[in-house]
Amino acid sequence: MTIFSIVLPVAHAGHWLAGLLYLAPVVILAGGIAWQRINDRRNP
Amino acid sequence: LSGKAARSGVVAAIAGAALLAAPAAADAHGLVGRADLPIPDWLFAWAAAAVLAISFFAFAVFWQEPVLETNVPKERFTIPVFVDVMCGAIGVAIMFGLIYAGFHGSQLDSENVVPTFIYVFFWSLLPLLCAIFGDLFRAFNPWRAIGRAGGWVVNRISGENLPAPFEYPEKLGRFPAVFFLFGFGFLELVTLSGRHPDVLATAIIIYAFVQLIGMTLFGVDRWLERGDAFNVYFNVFSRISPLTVKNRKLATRLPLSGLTDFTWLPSTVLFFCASIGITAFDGSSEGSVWQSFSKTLQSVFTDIGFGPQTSLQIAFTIGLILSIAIVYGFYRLGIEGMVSSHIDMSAKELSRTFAPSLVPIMLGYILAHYFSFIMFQGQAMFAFVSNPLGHGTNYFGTANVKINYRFLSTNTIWYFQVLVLVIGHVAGLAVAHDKALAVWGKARAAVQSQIWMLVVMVGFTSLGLWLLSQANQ
Repeated sequence: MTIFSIVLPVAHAGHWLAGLLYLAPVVILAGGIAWQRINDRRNP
Repeated sequence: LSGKAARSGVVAAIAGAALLAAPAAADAHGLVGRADLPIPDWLFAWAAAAVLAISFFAFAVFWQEPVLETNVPKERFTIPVFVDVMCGAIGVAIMFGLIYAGFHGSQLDSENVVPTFIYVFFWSLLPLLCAIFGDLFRAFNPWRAIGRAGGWVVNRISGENLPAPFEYPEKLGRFPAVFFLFGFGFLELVTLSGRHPDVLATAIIIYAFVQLIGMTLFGVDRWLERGDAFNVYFNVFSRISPLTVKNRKLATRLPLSGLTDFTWLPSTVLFFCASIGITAFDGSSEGSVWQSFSKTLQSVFTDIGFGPQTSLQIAFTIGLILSIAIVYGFYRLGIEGMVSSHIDMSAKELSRTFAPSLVPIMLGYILAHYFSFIMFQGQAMFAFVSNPLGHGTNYFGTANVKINYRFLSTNTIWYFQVLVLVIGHVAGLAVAHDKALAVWGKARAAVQSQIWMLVVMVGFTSLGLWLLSQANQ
């Protein structure tokens, strides 16, 4: 059945990897905030 | 991790995965072939993120008191009644003209004025005009004009101001408007006949009919604010404008300040997210990954027993819903982040309080995604005013005006797209910052609350630029 033949579009890995560069600012910002939040909890 | 933090983490993971999984896109209305940018296009996203972060800290340092919230519009002059009546009559005439053109004109969308008028002028350009000049659509809204005229006649005959026959179920809020906005997106992006002039003319008739029923049952203004998707859509953009009309008096105000007194009703946030999601899906639905994925989805539904066209439309419906859900999920990420900042407001209250900050983003997305469409396909209106039906008329001598595709370079289009996306998101940050100052009073608390909103804005900017960059590869 087709439903079992769904595969990840590995052929488009280049697109996905390039997309990661766009995602980087969000990850850096969110990661920085989360890191600061954890530090604040550990050292109130 | 606490429950709230864990919940935020889950939302962040889902939103991040959604951003990655969002299909590589090709702007459905854009032109392809951009080349020779001096830096890689992803660096524009980094630069945009830097601009947003710098703006955020600039607001924190230099913007310590609410400005937009406290702004009082200054009344300039009274608009005569006949102007209101005349604008309404023009709106009705345009509506009937479009219906006539849809049924009696050429059925090729390139020869008939209806598709270009609706998708270029109405859907893509009018939001900008409303953001500059105020609520133009309200003035020309044909079903409002008919509804008001009908109410005036009934009141004259009865000799008294009759109330609406039914009380609007307030729990519904703006859900009818969300439904019709989604319906428009469905017509444009999912159906295979969304550009056929006769289909669009039929849609206009059905929509006008439903609006007239709604106004008759619940009252003109009450229904328009809740059930007329386009009244809500253009009204929120008009709140960016420095011009407003209240009680027939034209007034000036600070740009964006109109967003501060936007009446919150249930489903308002969903309406904003639907608007952004429809635009985003419009950009992404012709991308290679989405096309590949939609074919897989299509084959799933074909195997179940649906026909190929129905299966494709089901797949695109899922994509449209998914796109709106991603936008909604990302906004909720920001809200959950704010909740985790020990703020004494619930997620629901925060969501509705900061929802107007999504409006400048809506406009930024629309202008960025449809800019080339407006600038190029918009030129076709010169020919259509002389030959609206495609029957060879030449009323104003402009029927043979061709679209000049060299008018703008693809790099210029890209720079403009980046610019409007960044401006839209900085404006969204400004609205949220001003609201936070009004809510919490102290600048420090306001800034602490808004740090997650910055993440949301950076995320939307990156997503928007990524969608656009894929279109131009």
